[in-house]
Amino acid sequence: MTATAGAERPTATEPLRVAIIGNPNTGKTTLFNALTGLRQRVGNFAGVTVERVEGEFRMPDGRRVAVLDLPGSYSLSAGSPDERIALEVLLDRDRQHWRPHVVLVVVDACHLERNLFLASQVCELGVPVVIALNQFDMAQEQGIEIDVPALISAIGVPIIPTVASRGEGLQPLKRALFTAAELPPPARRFVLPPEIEASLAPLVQHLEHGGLPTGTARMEALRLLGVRRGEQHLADIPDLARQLDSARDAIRAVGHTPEREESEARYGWIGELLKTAVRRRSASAGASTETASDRLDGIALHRVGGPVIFLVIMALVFQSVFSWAAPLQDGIDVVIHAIGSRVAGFLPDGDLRSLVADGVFAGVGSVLVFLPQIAILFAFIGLLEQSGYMARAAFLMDRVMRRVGLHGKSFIPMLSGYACAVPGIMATRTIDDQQERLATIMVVPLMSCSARLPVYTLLIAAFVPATPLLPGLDLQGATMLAMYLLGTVTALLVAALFRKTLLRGPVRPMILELPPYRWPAVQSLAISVWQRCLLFLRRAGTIILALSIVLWALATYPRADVDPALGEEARQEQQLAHSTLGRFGRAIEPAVAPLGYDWKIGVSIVASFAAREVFVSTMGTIYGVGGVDDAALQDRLRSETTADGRVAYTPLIAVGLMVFYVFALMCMSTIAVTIREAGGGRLGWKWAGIQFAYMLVLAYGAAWLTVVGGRALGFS
Amino acid sequence: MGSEATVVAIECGELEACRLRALGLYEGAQVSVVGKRHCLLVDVNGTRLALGADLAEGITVRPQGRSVS
Repeated sequence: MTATAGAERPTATEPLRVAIIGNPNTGKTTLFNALTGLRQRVGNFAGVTVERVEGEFRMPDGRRVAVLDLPGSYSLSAGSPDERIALEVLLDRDRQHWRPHVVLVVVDACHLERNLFLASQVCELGVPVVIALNQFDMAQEQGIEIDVPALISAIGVPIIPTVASRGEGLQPLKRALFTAAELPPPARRFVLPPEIEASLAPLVQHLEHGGLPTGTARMEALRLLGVRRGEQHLADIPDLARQLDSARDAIRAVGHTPEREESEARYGWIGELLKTAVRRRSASAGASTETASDRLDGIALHRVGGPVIFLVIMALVFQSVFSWAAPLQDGIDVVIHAIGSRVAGFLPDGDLRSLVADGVFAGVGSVLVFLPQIAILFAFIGLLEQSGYMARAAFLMDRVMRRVGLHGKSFIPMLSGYACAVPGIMATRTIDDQQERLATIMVVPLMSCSARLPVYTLLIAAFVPATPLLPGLDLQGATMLAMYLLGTVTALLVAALFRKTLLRGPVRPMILELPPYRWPAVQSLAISVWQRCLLFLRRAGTIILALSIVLWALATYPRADVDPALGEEARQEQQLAHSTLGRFGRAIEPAVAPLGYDWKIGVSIVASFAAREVFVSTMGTIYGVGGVDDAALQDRLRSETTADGRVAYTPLIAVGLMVFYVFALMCMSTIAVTIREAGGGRLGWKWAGIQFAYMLVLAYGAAWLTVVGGRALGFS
Repeated sequence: MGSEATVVAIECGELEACRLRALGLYEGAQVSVVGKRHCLLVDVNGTRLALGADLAEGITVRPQGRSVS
């Protein structure tokens, strides 16, 4: 079997497919956002475990371009899961993916040497390549003079200087993508020493027989010399390991070191190339000159000052999530309330009106009010990432994380977990070591996500008095903080436990790039936040809407023959008890009774499995008040009594319930993403099962301890 | 600290060596130490890297012929 050359040409009707790849911190995503704007979609490749962000733009003449944003990669050497994904998409070995017509390599003009390493690998894949020389302005400021025509002729691909954050160079770049699609794909521009080439020949041939095009086979042969890990995309090539070993032996026999060959060859070529194409103006010559970034790091990474600044920034983030969001939330609340009562007013009294008011508006509305908090949290995380501070935070946290057997990098997924466990778990793809990565995945859902906020907010507002403690902090705020701390500390302890038991292994040494500090690109940030908000709104419009309707139906039917002589509240009570939901709730009541919960809380907990926010909307639906008027729900909870006339919710039970939610993995989406990211298939299910089980046990145990311990101490 | 040196040998796990080379820290690269905390802060051709102390011990540099640690 011999393979044909890899390049594909776009047909007249289909869009031009462009894959964007680049080192982390090159402004790759900013460029992607600048190219595609709001025309983006987050989805999955059919049948494979790759999340993709795809966008589209149109040329003035109407031609369409589909753009795929590949994960940031330092090389194609597939060290981290992120890089493996990029390589698999580019090679398209299983013919399932989206084979690009053109690969756009985003290169940081300030760090050409390192960035061209990846570019030189990509240039050997047999696909036309365009290089965007990004942050070109910054390179000029730093006195780096780049002779672009010289680079073009040396590398053999179109190279366009861009400043993605200001949208400069986009038009020539777009045109270059089309031109490149018509050009022959680039090929390797350097020669290996003849004895190395000879030693590699059998391996190259073997890869070609396995179905790789010639250029790709040569790239892979050289690349594989440095790595020895399982290569999923090459798994179908038989006998590869033996061929590789004999190639390594042959190279050692001629006095070379196999692991060094690729970097020596590529950097050797890049070095020669840069000698002629790049000039540093003497004023800023020498890499050791202290930059503004270094001076900032002197403060941000200071032994004492560093952690203090870190804590202040974290405090600021949380403070703003709660206080800045409040007026916006009130606004949304007012609008939903107005629309809800207007719509309900048009409908005749009866089941339909009840469905719209108590089901749809109470259910979905109670969740929508959290949109501002989610937007602010994601904006902050994006800001920290783009500015370059996130890497410093990982650096500072490395000491803490190392104690529990994790890498500093694990801090970033955990921080994202405060917004939502789903992107948090996906962010673990930057962690190279599989055991460390799994341990991080296991604990990310313990970080209190924004979906728990509604639960905490409701219960705290209803049951915790606003007794002032310190200036700027009252008992309500302290309780909220305690819930976040409880989750975070437990996450660290559980990670340590996993690393000592199921996921034992040495902590990988830290290798972390500290990118220069940068002003964030506001527009790009806004686009990313908007995408996250859309995802949340889609959830509100689908899962949460559907569940609200189902719950409403379960709480309404079958209809009870209520005694019309009774008061409104008693009639509702009778109806609810008679309904399907009521019967189900009483069936599970024995399981939640030790925690002090009645069947209504039990039902809400079970329903919140679809999404935690649903707890609030379920309570809203059950009590027929809900988020359209949060204060009403709070009053209702406070006055609620059990069948035997006791108060249903005491502050102690409310705290126990919050503790339950700190730990419980009540989220379908998280389970789905864990299955996928832990390896898919049986392995994925196994880890998702372990995760769900340990969190449930922890939740039940801790809630029980809270209630029992609290009673023993005389609280009620 | 601050003075330039050339990387002579990298001895560490294969995964780390591979990552270091991709980051521009390869045999023959110019490096200088710019700071020392619980990790080593090095400059490699304008890129700032934080390297764990254990990892840095495995990297040998010239001219002094001493190990960066």
